[in-house]
Amino acid sequence: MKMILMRLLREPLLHFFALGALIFSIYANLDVRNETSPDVISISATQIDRLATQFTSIWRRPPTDEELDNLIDEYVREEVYYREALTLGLDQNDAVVRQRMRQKIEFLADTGAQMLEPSADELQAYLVANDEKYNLKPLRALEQIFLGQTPNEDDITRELAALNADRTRNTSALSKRSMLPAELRLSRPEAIDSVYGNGFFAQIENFPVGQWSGPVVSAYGVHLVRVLDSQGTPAPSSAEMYATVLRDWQAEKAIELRELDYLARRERFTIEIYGRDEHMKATR
Amino acid sequence: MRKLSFAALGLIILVAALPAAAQDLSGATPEVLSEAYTGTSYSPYSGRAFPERPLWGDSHLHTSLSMDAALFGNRLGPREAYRFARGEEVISSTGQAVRLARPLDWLVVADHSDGMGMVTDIAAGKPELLAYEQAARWSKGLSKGGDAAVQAALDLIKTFSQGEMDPEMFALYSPGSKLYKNLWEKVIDDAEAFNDPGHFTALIGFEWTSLIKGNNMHRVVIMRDGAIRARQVVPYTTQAPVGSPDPRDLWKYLTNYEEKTNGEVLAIAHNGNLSNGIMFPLEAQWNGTKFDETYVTQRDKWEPLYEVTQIKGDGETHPFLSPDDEFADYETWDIGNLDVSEAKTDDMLAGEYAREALKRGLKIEDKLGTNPYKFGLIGSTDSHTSLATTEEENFFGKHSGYEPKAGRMSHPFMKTEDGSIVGWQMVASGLAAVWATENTREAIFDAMQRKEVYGTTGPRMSLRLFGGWEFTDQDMNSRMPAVVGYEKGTPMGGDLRVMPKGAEAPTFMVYALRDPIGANLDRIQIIKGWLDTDGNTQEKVYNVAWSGDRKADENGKIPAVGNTVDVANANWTNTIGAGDLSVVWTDPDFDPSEKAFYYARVLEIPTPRWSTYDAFRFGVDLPEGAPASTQERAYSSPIWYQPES
Repeated sequence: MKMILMRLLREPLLHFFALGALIFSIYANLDVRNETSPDVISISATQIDRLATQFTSIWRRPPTDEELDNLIDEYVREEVYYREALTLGLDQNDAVVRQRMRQKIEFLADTGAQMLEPSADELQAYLVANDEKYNLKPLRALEQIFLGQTPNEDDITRELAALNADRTRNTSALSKRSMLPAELRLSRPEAIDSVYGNGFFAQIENFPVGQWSGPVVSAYGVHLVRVLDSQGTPAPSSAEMYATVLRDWQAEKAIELRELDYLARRERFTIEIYGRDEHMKATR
Repeated sequence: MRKLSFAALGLIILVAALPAAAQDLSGATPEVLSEAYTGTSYSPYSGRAFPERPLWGDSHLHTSLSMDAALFGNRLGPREAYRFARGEEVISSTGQAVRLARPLDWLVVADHSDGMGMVTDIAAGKPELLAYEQAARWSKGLSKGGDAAVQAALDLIKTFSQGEMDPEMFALYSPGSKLYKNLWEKVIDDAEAFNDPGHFTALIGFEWTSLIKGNNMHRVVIMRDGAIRARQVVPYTTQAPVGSPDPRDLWKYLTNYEEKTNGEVLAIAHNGNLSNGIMFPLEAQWNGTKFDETYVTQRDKWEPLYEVTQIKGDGETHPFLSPDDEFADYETWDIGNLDVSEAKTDDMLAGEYAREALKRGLKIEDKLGTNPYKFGLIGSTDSHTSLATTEEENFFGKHSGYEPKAGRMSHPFMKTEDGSIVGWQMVASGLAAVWATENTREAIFDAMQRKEVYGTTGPRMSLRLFGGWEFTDQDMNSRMPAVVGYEKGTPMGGDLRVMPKGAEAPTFMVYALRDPIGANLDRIQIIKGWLDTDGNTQEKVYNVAWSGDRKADENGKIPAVGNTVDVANANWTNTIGAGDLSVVWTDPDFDPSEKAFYYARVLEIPTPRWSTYDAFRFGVDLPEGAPASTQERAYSSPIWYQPES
């Protein structure tokens, strides 16, 4: 546990988080200082602006004079009740209030996570570690010539050399008739195997791109194959991947941060628990 | 009159002139244009827009969101269904690890729209439901498990089928409720999460479950669109006040969907074999109303496909309807309707099977001007386990109560005083193959719409059928016959082009390739149906290509291919049959004045039926009547011929 804590403390993300927390606490303190005396309720111009903005965002127009007065009256009413409730201790042991307070603090940690920018390496590592989640598989696009079930070995060697020496060589004269697709777009291993038979992908996986290779044995016979395009695990830098992976990475960091934040806050307290065992005994 | 046509001419000139003026085509000289159109590219594959391989899928899969599926113990939702379909291992509702030999390319989760999600919520004891006495009672029973759960499930089924559900509770799981809308959005979200264009397609859909006195008129509804359009509606149901069991009302819903969202949608009828004759009537609708132009044109418009084979029996044809077809009696379910509340009689059969419907369509077209049964053929599972299993050696049954276990074959699947269907009669079938240009919702839907699809009873054999007037044996010998096929003819699902002068009979290029991990092929047959000059429908089965050197007798009959199945060990060898079969075939009995259709049927060599695997693995005897082996098959969509009027 200590190891993890130490490692996390060194992480730049924690510094971001700490900064965020600092800003929040300064802001919170400023708000308190605005109140001159516990018996005075003063509504500032900023506060009035905020009320008007809220109204506008709902009604799509600014409030009239009368409506603004109502807003202010309501706000004063709320403030009166709020202060009285605090004086009476009505916020104590209220499940809703407690939940809300907890949520606000957790939200701080989450905001911290959203400010984090992982390095490219970090994001790639995360992607690879979670490839099941993204259903990532290597991709190959290919072209193939079907040579039948028992082609002559010398013919294969000669044709391969000829095809690679002369890129414009007509392949269709060489090929036997087949229903198999002559070309396949970028496809996953299982898609390639479901077309040509199991084990086909494994044979072509390491073929160089752009060069005729083989022979490759399928469920139907013997083929020459040219890999047209090859992709490994996609980089998270590709636009569509980036947003998704970044979001997931941040979500995971947020959970880590929350826990870290909690542990730090908990440190400040001594926690004493009494009567647990007695309770268990009594209820069993 | 003269004045009017001048005015019309003026308008045409004006309209025609406007776009040209607005778009500035003044510089279109031959020199400029020749740069733009450079002729064929060096690459033989560039610009080719036809599909290269069939994409395999199941258009009809139920998850725990379907009331009946959940009642039979299905605990797997759409997410598990998608994960399984794309090739991942999942744990079935009965706790068994299961995985497909290879992934599907696409899937439609099609849960029953009536009461969608209700039983799952009852089983989970959702708090807002427990206020209803029925829900509270069933929830308690279901959560107890064992006999209490069975009793609760039976009570629920009885209450539902007798129409005694608490209407207020049922309304929560019907269109109009917020809960139902949220549920539908969840269904859509799950499809969106697993839809992976280019690799795996999750089409959005549902099943409209019309049942008229136990007679099956179900339709699966499939959308071409994504979440934005699908979210603008909720599924259509059969229960009043919103829903209706009348297909005409379903078609109105589909019309409304397209108008409202600018999207596209289609419906697929299935299980005609359990409709007791009302799926493909000849003259009047299910309620006795005579056919009219609206009925036939709407049906033709909205229902381009028919699910010809599935777990509850094969629906191509019946020996009573096709006495001359030696392969007609294949996995036949003909004791009654869906709940066996009414026994089957011979006169019902003609309104139930695909081949007869295709024939009836010609007759109706002759009378009303439109063929309402001009459909393509697909197979799908209708599995209620969230698991699209069609492999004989990997069959997880119709619903969770029939997942693999020793007694499932001899257990009565349906039983009333009118007859019974026993567990072994379930069929490990079927799949839909779609000749789509790419693996996306749009391309798959478009292929379905143009009927360039075919169905199999589970294996993945490739099958091409092209019809034209001038195919020659030479065309079959090119490396890629499909190139010529599209150039000179129409693919499956289409209409023959107009008969050119000098032509005598249509030619068909048909070829098939065995499943890469499956059995060799026995033969290809062409099935022709036509309307003769007396207005009667006819049919004939032609053997057109077969393995080995078997000789046809004077009636065209070919000796059987043989059988390598070792029943005791549930094994077989690929030592007979052919890896691929092909032929260019000319109709020897063609009459240019007769409407006709042609489709291909491909038979595999015999392999062990799923029941044989069960007998071997559980060490039990094969139940009486269960065939030890099966000749799995593929059915192509037809190509139609229309005489020039």
